[in-house]
Amino acid sequence: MNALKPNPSDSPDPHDPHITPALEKVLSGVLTAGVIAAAITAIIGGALFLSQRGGETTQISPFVGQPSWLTSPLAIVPAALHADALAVMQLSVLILIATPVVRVACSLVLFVMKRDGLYVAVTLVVLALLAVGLFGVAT
Amino acid sequence: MTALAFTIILFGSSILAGLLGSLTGLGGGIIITPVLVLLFGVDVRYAVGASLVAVIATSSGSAAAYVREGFTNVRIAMLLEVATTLGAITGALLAAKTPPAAISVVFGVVLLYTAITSIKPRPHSELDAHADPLATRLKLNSTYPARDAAGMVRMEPYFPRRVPGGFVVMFLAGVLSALIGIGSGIVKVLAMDKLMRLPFKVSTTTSNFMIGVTAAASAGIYLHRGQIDPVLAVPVALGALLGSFAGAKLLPKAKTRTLRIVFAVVVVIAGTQMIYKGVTGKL
Repeated sequence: MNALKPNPSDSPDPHDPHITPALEKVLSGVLTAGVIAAAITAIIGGALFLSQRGGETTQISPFVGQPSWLTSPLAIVPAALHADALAVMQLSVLILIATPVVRVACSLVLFVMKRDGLYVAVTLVVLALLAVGLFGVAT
Repeated sequence: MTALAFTIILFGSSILAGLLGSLTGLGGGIIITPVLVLLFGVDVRYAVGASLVAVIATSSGSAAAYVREGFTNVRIAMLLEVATTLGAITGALLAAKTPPAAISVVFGVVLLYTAITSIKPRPHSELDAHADPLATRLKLNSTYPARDAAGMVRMEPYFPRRVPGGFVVMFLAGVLSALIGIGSGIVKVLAMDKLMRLPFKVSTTTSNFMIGVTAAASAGIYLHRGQIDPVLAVPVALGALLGSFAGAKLLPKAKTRTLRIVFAVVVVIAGTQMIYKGVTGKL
């Protein structure tokens, strides 16, 4: 069983789950970019909303749900492009939700490059589950 | 109250929640829902949606920094993300069938448990010296940067174990995360630290790496169900993000022991209130 013990002086082995510095940069870059893009969109949407309706009285309503154009990814984008304040704000939420998804997609590239078939499959399962959450289950 | 005043107060409270969450290591999500429900009178269903969005924002923001340090085990993260996303979808579907009063009570119990664990110092688990056959087949054994007696940093090997047990607990962490809109970092670290016996730094950073993915799986379902109100979610997410960045900067200088006690007291009060509200039906 000694063969299982990694020797620190060994040359880089194909089973090393660490990611290369270049890919680490890509992964953390994706996360940072997503968060910044979402924050900028949120600030634009928020400013738009407050300039139009900032003076209105806020009412904490009981739960009624959101209108359909604010609940589907496919409807939010066109509404946001028409500079609807609520849709732009919801677009920032959508960018935030998409950020970890893009991160998982980047990991897929990493495992493909390492020819790690097992983890390519594992990552595809995670991506499929994320897609189910984002598009599939409408209740 | 005007929309402008409401947004500013909400934004300010969320900065505070993000700051305390990151300084105490408990995450901002744990306190955002109680603040929205108890102080602002927001419906639990909207509060959980806004909190989930804030959890994604703060975890993505801080995971970016952690990936670079070489602690995150990307294979363990990906394997366990199968469990957490599956759990998150289950939890989000379960949330639709669960009355808000019950969600409030579950939340209260989690808050009380969090308060207890945050004050008790965590005894460190012994690391295992042998490779576990299943973990080896799944290529999970790895190394992490550790300081030796002479203060030199070198790569120390570690061998995860009890992978199936970790997988099951991670599924439950996903369910909990989706049901009440938290990162479930505490449960995730419990699974990796106690069950799988990963080094502490590896389990906390890998857990943080996974939180955003788990929350994204359920946030999509919340979005479809109309539980994400942008008027709430945007100021809360922006505030929590700003607060957690400030917390990360202040961390080296902060008196975290005192802060943990203060935060634990706040969490206990919030937990008791959530249970009371749920039980008496004053929601």
